[in-house]
Amino acid sequence: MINAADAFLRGVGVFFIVYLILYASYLFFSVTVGAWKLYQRDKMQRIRNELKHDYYMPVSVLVPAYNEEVTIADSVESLLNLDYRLYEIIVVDDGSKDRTAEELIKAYHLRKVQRPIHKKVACKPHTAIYETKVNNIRLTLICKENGGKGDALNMGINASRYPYFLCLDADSMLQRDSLEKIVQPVMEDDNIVAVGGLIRVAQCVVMEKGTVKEYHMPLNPITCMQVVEYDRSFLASRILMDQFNGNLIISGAFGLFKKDVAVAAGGYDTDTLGEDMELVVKLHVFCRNNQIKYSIRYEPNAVCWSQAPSCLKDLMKQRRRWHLGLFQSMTKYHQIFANFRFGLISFISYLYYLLFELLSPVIEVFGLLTMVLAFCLGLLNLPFMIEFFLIYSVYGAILTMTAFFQRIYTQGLKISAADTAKAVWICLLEGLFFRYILAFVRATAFVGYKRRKREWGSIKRISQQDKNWKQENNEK
Amino acid sequence: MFFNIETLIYTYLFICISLLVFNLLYIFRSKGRERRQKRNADAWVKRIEWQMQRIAQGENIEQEHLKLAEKKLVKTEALFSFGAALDALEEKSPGQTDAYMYSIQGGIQVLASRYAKKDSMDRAYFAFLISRHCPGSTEEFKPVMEILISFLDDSTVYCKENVLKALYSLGNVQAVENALQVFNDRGWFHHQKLLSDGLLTFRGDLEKLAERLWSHHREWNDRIMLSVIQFITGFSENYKEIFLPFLEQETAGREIRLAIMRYYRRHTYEPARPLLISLLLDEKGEDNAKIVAASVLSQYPGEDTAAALKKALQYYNWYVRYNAASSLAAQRIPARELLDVLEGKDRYAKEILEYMLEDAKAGEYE
Repeated sequence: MINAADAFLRGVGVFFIVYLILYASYLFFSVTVGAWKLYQRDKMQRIRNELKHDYYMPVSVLVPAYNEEVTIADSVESLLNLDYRLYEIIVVDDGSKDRTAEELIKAYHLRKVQRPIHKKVACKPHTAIYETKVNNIRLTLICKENGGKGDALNMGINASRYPYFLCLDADSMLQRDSLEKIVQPVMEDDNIVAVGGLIRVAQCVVMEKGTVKEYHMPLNPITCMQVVEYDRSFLASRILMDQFNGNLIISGAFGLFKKDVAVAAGGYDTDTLGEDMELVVKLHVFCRNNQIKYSIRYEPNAVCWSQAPSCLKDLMKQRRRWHLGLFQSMTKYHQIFANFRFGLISFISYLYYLLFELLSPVIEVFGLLTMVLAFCLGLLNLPFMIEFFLIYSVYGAILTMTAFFQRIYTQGLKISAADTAKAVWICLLEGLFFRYILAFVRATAFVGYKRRKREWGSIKRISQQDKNWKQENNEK
Repeated sequence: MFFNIETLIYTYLFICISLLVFNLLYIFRSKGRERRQKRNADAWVKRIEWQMQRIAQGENIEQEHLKLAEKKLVKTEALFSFGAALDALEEKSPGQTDAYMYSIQGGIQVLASRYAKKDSMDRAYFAFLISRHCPGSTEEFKPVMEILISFLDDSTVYCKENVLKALYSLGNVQAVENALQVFNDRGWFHHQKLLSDGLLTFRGDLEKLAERLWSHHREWNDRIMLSVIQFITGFSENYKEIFLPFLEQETAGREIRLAIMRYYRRHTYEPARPLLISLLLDEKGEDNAKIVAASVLSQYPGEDTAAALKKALQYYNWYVRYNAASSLAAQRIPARELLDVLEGKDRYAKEILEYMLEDAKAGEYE
């Protein structure tokens, strides 16, 4: 019996060592490739290797909103200050229970219009449409019946006038050049059907008319940990997968899509929690199945500042949604798994998300159970385990620090010595604790799965004005 | 285990720490580099100002200065400082460095040949500098133009774009024609918008350039010719007669015909009106042609146009209806003349027209 248990635990040990080596190697290669690519990009930009142009293609900016009365006016204000010649803004109020629509109508004196909408993709009907022009930019507000974020985005696609659309979260803020930067890749390659931008945590910055006035590490440790976590994931995975057209996610907070291809693929799925990932995976499948030459790109210089949850409860809610969304997309498009037709998308991207994102909570729980079993049987090598855990955590922390500092210099941000020390400390803490809290959240994500299926993921928002005011008071 | 896992993780750890240290050093080096570049740029400003004074006094540029430029500017970092110096001088007084750039054109030619051997990123910067600081419409830079065209091979899209910008800026028709010939022969993709908007920045004779580029309409691929037509649309009235037969011929490429239709939106031409109307109403015609025709007809007010647009309001394609309504609204036709639609049975036609009229009215107040 003991021999059988010993053999089983040895087998588990080998499995975990292989699993962790694969993960460590993936992280290592992705951060190295990411760092090298960003270094190259930085040099290229400095010596004018870019497609700077006066006129790009017109873009429809879609802002789905649900109970966003606190931030909606700020967000639209930031969108009206973009350095871009031709674009429109379409806010879709998905049956908010607060005063989202009223705030916007009041702020921009919107007038009610009887505008027919061409329903290219399915969505719930609208209840009212308002329009105006601000600085020659058309601003449209569509109030519709509640149908979820994907449904709201589909309404936005239907109402859009231009060949490309940009989806943006209502709490996100763009820099003046963000739209220009996200469109630039489309000028390089006609086959590009989608471009994802870099998402950073809005609580870090004080913005004024689309310009970052100040960068600092937030006081809240939960927000702080997300800052370094975002930097790592956007430096690592996205850039590596971009090398072989293998990105499976473009964040719903900031992504550009070619409208005709997105429409032909069926638009956003209204029945999923991860509509952003679902659309990107769907585009891969659609283009490959129809033998359409395509490319899905990631543009690290296009920056969007998005509010991160600042309390554990909101964060857990958000991560549950993400994990369930991942599960839905992975299972819906299981045809990608081990399919040579999808090339590296199948054997690197899909496998990565399957093994290290979707199944990792299950594997981690399994690991914990076998540790308890080994301890009960007196077969646990405790010193080795602790040593391994610490080495692994430090390794993870150093990768995160690399990503963090890389971002600081490539974006020309200035950071104080105190914030530098704080960032180093947070990188260590993130590897030691935060990661495991999130692993627990993901492991329990399926509890109440059906009940949450179509909910909007709402978190507590703070307006930019409040943030600036708080910042000033802190300084005083 | 057949290898020691701790060793592997320690190796990764070591490399990651090296990466982190590299990052930190890079940040400090970047700061140092900015200071160094500022110093170097200031030094170049002084040198160039001295040479400009000599030129102003009718003297030749110093040979030592030319040699120094040829020697130092081979490095891209030094060229960057040189560019910053020229920017600073141009900012003080635009055009003041033109005479200086004429005087060092021999040196620029030498540098161009050296940069031709460098990688695409450096070539792109050299071309950018030429586009920004070399005076246009001169024969002196002809040899440089030839070298610039050679930059195009094995280059990135950024290098290609900067080379084209440099050629537009130098304002030589033959050079731009040759470059586009290379694009056509190699079948390279370069975004239509980049090409057409770029051509409009040409600093030489635009009409002559248009004439030469259009002369290739039977040889060059449709993608390049589309850019040429868009470029011509941007400035020339002279192609109204030339383009009309292409609109009539169904042999011309679909996109070419659509581009020509758009030309007639910007440059109205009465003989095009019946053709545009027939394209809109042709039952066997393509939807794309109808969509564009409905939009272009906004510039051709008249009873026949209004009747055609009203008819198009009932077409099954949403975009045809949308553009037809928009054109009717843009022509400010009195509401009483549109009553047949506004009080008609076709709900789709009525709704879109009502919205467009309302939108046009609101536009007057905004």
